[in-house]
Amino acid sequence: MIGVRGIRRILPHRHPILLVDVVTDVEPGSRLTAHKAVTANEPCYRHLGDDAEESSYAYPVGLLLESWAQSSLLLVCWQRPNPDVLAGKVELASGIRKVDVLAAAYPGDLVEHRVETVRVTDDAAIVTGASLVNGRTIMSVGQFSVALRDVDELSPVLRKEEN
Amino acid sequence: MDSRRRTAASDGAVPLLHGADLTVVVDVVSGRTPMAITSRVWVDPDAPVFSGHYPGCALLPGLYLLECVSSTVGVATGVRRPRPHRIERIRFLSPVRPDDEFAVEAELAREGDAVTCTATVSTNAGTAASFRVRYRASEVSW
Repeated sequence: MIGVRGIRRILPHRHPILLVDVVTDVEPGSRLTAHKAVTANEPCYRHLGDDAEESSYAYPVGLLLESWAQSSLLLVCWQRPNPDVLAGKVELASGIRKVDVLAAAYPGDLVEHRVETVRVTDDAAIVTGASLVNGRTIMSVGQFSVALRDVDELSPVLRKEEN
Repeated sequence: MDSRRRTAASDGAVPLLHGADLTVVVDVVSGRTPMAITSRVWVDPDAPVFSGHYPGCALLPGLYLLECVSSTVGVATGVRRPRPHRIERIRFLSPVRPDDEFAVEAELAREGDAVTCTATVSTNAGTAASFRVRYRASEVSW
């Protein structure tokens, strides 16, 4: 099991968009399980007032998917850590297919992300998997594709600052 | 009948960038099925997300664009924060940078008990992403 310190040694994502708390199980190159705890202090709830409906606290699908995608990057980069995009690669999602959102996560829920490798090359990967709460699948991901690119391959404005 | 509506992130339309970081202007071109929608979103370069994605190389997380599409659909249909129940596909073609302004062009069509949204997000550099997403008709209707 690795916590945030270990995760930060593999992923370049940082606060407030580091959305994985702990890796509980990993079979390098094959599969990984990670957890994300949803709390009422998430920035996405910042603007909800006292009269907000309970349903307003459903964790946004985009962030749930981002958290799952970060878990998949942990698997992809487990044996080739990439904590600094300026020294390593920029991780860019390239495609997502067939995601079913079956239920929502709410503050207090511990989301378990399960990811499995479909195919990995030097500069790209395809993974699949699901997210669960209390053993119940809340989201299934048919296919997620990610590309690893040098920062200099992107637009010039994204290049490493010379100074 | 055509209609035009405006909103801003301060209304809670786009909550993911920690406040009034985005401005969404929705232009509902047609009130019939399919509904055509356009919106414009400006990305505040000081949005906190950029400090973490990524340090030294600020890029908008691609999945934020999904929330922008959903917010656009929500503003157009009068639904607060609609949640997709099925993502058929998303293609990410180029990254969105701080201070970018991008346009969301979406079309909504009813298909049985679902509403299918086909959308593209474009910046000055071209198409950044394309989407085919489904919402429940019981949640998103017009």
